[in-house]
Amino acid sequence: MYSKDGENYFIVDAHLHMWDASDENQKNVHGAQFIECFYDYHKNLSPEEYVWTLEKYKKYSEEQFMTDIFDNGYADHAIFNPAALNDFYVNGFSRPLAWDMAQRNPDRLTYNHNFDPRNGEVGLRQLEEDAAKYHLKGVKLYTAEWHGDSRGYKLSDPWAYTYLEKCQELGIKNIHVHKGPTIKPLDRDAFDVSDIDHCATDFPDLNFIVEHVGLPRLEDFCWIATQESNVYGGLAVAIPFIHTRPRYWAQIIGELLYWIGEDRILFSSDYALWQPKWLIEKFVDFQIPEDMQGEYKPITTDQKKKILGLNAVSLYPHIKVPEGLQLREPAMASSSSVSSSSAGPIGSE
Amino acid sequence: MNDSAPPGQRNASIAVSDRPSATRSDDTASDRAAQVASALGTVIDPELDEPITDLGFVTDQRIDGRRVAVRLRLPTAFCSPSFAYLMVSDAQDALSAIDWVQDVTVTLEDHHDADRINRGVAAGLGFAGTYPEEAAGELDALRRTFRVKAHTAFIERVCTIMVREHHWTVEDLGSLRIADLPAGRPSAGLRRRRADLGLPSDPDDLVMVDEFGAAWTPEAIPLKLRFAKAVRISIDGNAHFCRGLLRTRYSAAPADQRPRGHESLGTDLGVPAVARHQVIRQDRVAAATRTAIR
Repeated sequence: MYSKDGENYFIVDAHLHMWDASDENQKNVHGAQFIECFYDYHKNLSPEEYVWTLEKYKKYSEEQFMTDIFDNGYADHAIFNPAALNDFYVNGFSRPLAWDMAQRNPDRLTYNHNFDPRNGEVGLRQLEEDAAKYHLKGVKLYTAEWHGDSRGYKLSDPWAYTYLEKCQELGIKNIHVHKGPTIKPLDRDAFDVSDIDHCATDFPDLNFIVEHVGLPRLEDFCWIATQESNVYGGLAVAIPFIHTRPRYWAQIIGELLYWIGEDRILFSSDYALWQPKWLIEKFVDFQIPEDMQGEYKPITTDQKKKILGLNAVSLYPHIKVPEGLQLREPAMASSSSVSSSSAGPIGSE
Repeated sequence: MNDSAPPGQRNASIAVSDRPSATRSDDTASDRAAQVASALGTVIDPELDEPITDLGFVTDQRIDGRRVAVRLRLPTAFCSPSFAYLMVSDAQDALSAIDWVQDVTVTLEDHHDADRINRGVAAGLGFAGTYPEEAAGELDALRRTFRVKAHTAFIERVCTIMVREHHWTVEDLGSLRIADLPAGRPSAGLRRRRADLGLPSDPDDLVMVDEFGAAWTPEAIPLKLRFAKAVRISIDGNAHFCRGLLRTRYSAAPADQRPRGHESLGTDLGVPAVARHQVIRQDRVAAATRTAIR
C-alpha cells in the first residue's frame, strides 16, 4: 500500500521478472547483447540514484527483489510474467526461482507461465500440465520470438487459436502479450498489434493485456483497445517517461485515458528494468500540466487508484483488497472521462 | 571511432584535393563532403520519420577520390533488422546517386546482424536475398505502412500550425490547400511525405487526404485528426526513446544529434474531443470504419 496526502493506494505490479542474465548463463553473444540492451533501457530512463551496476543488473537475489517490490516498492501484490529466451540463455532468461517464491508467498505473488503455439500438440499437452502445476491464471506470450524456421507468429494463426481455446477450457483468462522487438528479420512490422483485434473478438471471455501499451505503436493499440472491451494495456516501458519526459508522459496517459478509459490500464514496473518505488511515487504526484489541460482532463485520485492496482484485481480476482482500499463509490463508467461534445459521428448504424 | 564532430564535418579525406583530375574541377573537398552529408540527410529512419543525420546514426564519412565510406550505428543491438536494412540500403542508394561517386561502402556497426546486412546491401541482394530463409519478400509494404503513418502525423502537425498561428478553425481545415501552408518546413515537409506516397502536391491540392489522395469527408475529419494526433504522439515518443538510448549507449552521441525538427512544428491542436463511444464497435459496423481510417 502506498499512502500520500491522506489517500491510500492498493498496489498491484502487473509485470515483473526474476531473471538470470549472468555471464555463466549466457549461451552466446546475443545473451550479452540482450541484457546490455535492457540495461540501456534501465539506465536511460531511471533517476540516477536508482541505477544499478550492470553486474548487479544481470542477476539479483530474492532478498533484493522482495525488498525492492514489497518493502520499498509499496506493492501489495505482484505478478511474474516470465520470458523463456532459450536461444540466448542456457537455463532460460527467467529463473524457476520465481515459482518457488510464488509458492512461499501466495498472498503476495502470482506466477504466470508461457507457451509457444508453434510447439503444436506437444506444447498443448505441456500447457495442460503447466496449468495444473502452476495453477495458471495467466500466460505471457512473446510473439516475435524466433523458433526453428519461424519468424515469429501472430495470435490470429490457427495454432495460436487452438492454444487460446485450451486457455479458455483451462480457465487461463489473462493473456499477456509482448509485441516485438524481434531479433530476427521480419518483412512485416514485429510490433504490429492487429492480430490482437481478431482474437479479442473471437475470445470474448479472455482478457488480452498488451504490454508496453503497444509502444512503439501506441495509436494502433489505442484504436484496437477502443473497439475491444477485453483488451488492456500494461504501462511498462511507458510510465518511466514520467521522470525523463513528464510532458510526453502526460500525452501518453492522456491518450490512453481518452481512447480506452481508466478501467483498462495496468501499472507495471517491468522490474528489474525499473524500480517500482519511484514510478509509484511520481505517478501519485503526477498531474497533467496546466497548459495541457485544455487537451487532456486532469487525472483524478480514483483513476490513479484503479491504474495502480484495482484494475489488475478485476483481472486477478484471487487478489483480495482490504476494506477501505476499494474506491469509496462504485466505479463510474470510464466513458465519463471523455467529452460527449462532438462533431461528426462515425460508424453510426 | 571519432564521435566528437558532427556528421558532415569530419573525416573528409585530404586525399580528395590530391587528385583533382579525378573529379569535376568545381568540386572542392568541402563541396563533396557537403554533398555526401546532404545525401545522407535524405535517408529517413522509417519509424521515427527523421533523417539519420539528425538522429546521430552516422558516425563517420570518408571520401577518397571517387570512393565514399560511411559508418552507421543504431540505439540498440536489437533494433529491427528490417528497418536497419532499409536505412543501410537507402544510404547506399543515396550516395551512389551522387554524380562523381563511383564506389560506396556503408557499414552498420554494433548490431546483432550487422555483418549480414552489410554484406547483403554491398552485394545488392535485396532484403529477400539477404535473408533467403527468413524473409518472405521485400520491405516495400513495411516501408509504405510507415510512410502512411508519417504522412498522417504530419497532417496533424501542419494543421496545428494553421489553427495556432494562422487563425484557421478546425471546421475549416477540410478546405485547407497546399498553397495555404506557410513556406518552409510545414509546406516542404508535407510535400516530401506526399511524394513518398506517390501523391502530387499541386497548390490547389487539399491537405487532408488519405494515403491514396482521397479527401477526408467533413464528418470524418474530427476523428481522423484525433487519430492523427495519436499517431504523431506515438512516433514522437518512439523518437525520444531511441534518441535517449543512443545517448546512453554512446556517451559522445549527444554531439551528433540535432534537435528533433518536428518539435518546432508545435503540438497540441485544439481539436474538439470526439466522444469515444462514437468509435466503439456496435457489432461489426466499426470494421468498415477501421478500414476507412487506415
